[in-house]
Amino acid sequence: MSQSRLLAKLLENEITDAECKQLNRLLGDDPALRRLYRKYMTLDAMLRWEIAPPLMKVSKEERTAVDSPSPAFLPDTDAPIPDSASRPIPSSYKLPLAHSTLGGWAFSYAVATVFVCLLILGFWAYKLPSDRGSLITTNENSRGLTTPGESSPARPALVFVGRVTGIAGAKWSDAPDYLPPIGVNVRLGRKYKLKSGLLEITYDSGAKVILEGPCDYTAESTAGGYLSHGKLVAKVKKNHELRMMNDESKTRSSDIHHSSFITPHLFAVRTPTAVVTDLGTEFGVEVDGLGNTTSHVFRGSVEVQAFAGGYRNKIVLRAAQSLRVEKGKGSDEAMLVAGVVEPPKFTRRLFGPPKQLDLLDIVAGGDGRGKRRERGIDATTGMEDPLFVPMNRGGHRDYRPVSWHRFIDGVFIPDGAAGLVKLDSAGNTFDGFPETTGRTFGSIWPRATEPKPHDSASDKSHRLWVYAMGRGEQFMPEERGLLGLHSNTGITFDLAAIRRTFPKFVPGRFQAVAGVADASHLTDIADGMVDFWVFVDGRLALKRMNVRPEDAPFGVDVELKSNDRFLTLVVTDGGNTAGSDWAVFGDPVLHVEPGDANETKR
Amino acid sequence: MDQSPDKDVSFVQKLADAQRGLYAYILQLLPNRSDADDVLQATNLVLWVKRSQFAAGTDFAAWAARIAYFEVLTFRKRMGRERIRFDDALVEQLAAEAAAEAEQTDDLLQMLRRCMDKLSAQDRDLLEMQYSFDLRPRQIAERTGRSPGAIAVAMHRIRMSLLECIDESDASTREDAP
Repeated sequence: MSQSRLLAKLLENEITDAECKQLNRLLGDDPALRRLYRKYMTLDAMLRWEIAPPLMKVSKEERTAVDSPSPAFLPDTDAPIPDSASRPIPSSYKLPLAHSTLGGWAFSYAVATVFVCLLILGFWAYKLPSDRGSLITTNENSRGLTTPGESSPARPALVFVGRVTGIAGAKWSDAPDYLPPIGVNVRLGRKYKLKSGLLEITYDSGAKVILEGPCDYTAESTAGGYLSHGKLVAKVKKNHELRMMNDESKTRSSDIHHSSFITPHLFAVRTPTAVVTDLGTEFGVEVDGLGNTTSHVFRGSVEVQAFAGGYRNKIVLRAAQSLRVEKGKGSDEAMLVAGVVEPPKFTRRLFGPPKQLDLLDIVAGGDGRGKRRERGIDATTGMEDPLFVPMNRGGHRDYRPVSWHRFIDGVFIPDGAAGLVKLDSAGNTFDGFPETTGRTFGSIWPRATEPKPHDSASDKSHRLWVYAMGRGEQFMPEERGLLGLHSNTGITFDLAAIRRTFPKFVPGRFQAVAGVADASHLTDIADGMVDFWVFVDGRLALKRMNVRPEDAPFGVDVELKSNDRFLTLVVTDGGNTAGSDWAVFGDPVLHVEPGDANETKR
Repeated sequence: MDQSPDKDVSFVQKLADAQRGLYAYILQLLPNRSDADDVLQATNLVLWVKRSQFAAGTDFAAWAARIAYFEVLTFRKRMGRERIRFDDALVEQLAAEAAAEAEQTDDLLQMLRRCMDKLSAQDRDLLEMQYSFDLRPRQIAERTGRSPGAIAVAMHRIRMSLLECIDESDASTREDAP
C-alpha cells in the first residue's frame, strides 16, 4: 500500500493499529511525507469547511434547502435568516448532488460565518419571520407536548410519569391558587412551583430533571415538561439515550422529516418561546420573567427550536454552547441570540453537604467537591496552565488576580526586597518576607496521587519536579494528591466566595501535610530549603522557616472563622536561592463546618 | 475582563477569519474530524474567554494556534490510549511545522475553488456526499451502487488530484509574481 493511501485510511478512521504505528514511524522519519500529510489534512479541512463547515451542523432538512439557488451574501447584522432555510420541508430525503456549486458554497460559507459569530460569540440577533403558521402540522406522537407557549391539554388523572427523588431546601410557592403536591409520585400534568431550593424528578424513562426555585414546571408528558419560568437541568441516562436513539433511527428510516415541534420519544423541555430537545445529553434551560429562553449544553447536544407563530427553526447546540431565544415585539415573534452569553449558573447535582473541600480540585479548576488534578496556574500571571510548564518564571512581583476562578483570589511572587507584599485583593499586605530571588519555577500544580510517567533518564527530568520527586506518599497520608508550590510562590483562596457558593457550610479549618521533597537523587547540588507561610486575611497563622527535605513532613492545621475572607499559602526560598525548593502541601483540604445540614438528598 | 464593544467586534472578526486555518491546524494534530470539531469549539471558547489577553497588533493566528495546541494536548490526555493515533513527539513536530502555515488558508481556498471547478460532476458529487453529508465510503457505496473499496480509492484519487492542481496553481502564481 502506498504511503499516501495510509493517509486516506487514517482520515477515514479505517487504519489498523499496525498501519498506524507504521505511519507514525514514517511521518517521524520522512519530512516529505510529513509535508504531504499536512497538505492532505489541510485539504480535508478546507473541503469540509468549504462544503459543510464543521460548526454549522445543519439538519438534513436545512441542507436540502441549500440545494436551490441562493443569493451569495455576506453576514449582515440586520439580515433576516434567508427564506430558503425556512421553506417547507420536502417530504422525502434526497441528496443534493452538487451542480452550480458556487452559489451553494457561498451560501454555506456565509451561513457558516454567521453561525460562527452567532454560536460562538453572540453578537448578532436574527429576527424570525412571524407568518409561519401554515407550517405547523400536528403529530399525535408528541404525547402532549404541543407548541411552545400553549397550555397543556386536559390530562387523564392518575397517570404517573416518575418520582421525586431529591429535595434540597425546597420551599413551595405560596401563591393562593397553588396546591403543593403530596407524595413522591409525579402525576402527568402535575405542576411543581418552587419559591426556592431544589427538587429532582426522575422520570420512569430514566431522565432526571433538577428544578431550581423560583420556577414553575409541569410534568406534561412521559418524556418532558413545560417550564414557564425558572431554571432546570435535564440529564438523560445512557440506556435511555440508547433506547431513544434506536427509536429515533427507526422513525427516521420511515420518515426523516418530522413535521411537529417535538421529536417523538426524545426528552424535551417546552418553554413559552422554544422547545429544547435532548439528543443524548445534559443541558440546562432558563426561562426569565418575559418568557425568554436560555439553553446551555453541558454534555452531548440538544436541538433548540425557536417558536414564532408556528415557525420552526432549529439549531443544534453542542457541549459548552449556549443559545437564547427572546420574545420579539410582536406576540408571535421570537429572536434567536446565540453565543457565550454568560450562560446562567445551573445546579447540576443534588449533593449532601460537603464535609470538606479539596484545594487540589479547586486549583485545577473545580469547586472543591470533585477530584480534578493536573491543571495548574502560572504564579506570575494568574493564567491557567493546562500543562506543567517546566521553566523559570518571574519578572514582576505584582499581585495577580485570578479572574477565571471564583474560589481563587490571586497569585503572586513574594519578595521582601520589594517592600510590602500584597496578599489578597482586599489589600492586606505583609512586610516580613525575606528577600528572595523574585522568581519561581514551573506552575502552581495540583498533582494526582500517582506521578505522571516521564523520562526519568533524561538529564532534564528534574525540571518536571512535581513528577521527578517520586510519589511523595509521606506528604499525603490520605492519598489525595499534592499541591506543588516551588518557591517563591503565593496563592490566595477566596473563603467568602466559597461561603457564597455553599451558603450553609462554613470552612472551619485548613489542613494539609507540608514539607520539601528530596531532589538529591537527581542532582549533586540539591540544596532545597523553604520557608512556609500561611495567612488568613493578612494575619500570619503559620510560619515554618528553613524546612529541608531531610526534615519530617509537618501537619498544617489552621482554624478559620466564619467571617474570614482569604486564606493565603506562601513558600519562599529560605535565603539560599530557590534551587531544588520542591515544596508541597499534601492532601490540602478545607474542612467545612456544617450549618443547617438537615436538607440532604433523599 | 473589561473589553470595549469595539474591541470585541474586532476580536470577533479575527476569530471568524481564523476559523478555517485553526481547524486545519487542529486536524493535522488530531486526525479525526469529530475530535477536531470538539477541540475547535473548545479552543474558540478559550480564545473568547481569554480575549482580553490578546495584544492588538500581534499575530492572532499564532496566538490562537498556541492555545489550540494546548487544547489538543488536553484533549489527548482525556482520550483513551487506544484512540491516540500519534505519539507525543510526532504531535510536537507537526505542531511546530503546522503553526507556520496556520494563516495561509485564504490563498489556498481560492486555489481550491478553482481546482474544484475542474472536477467532473461525478467527482463533485462524491465530495458533496462525503463532506456535506458526512457519509462514510460504505454509505456512499450503497447509494451509488459501487463497492466501498472503489469509493475509498476514488476519494483518495480526488484529493490527490486536487493537491496536485493546487500545487500547480501555487507554482504558477509564484512565477507570475514580480
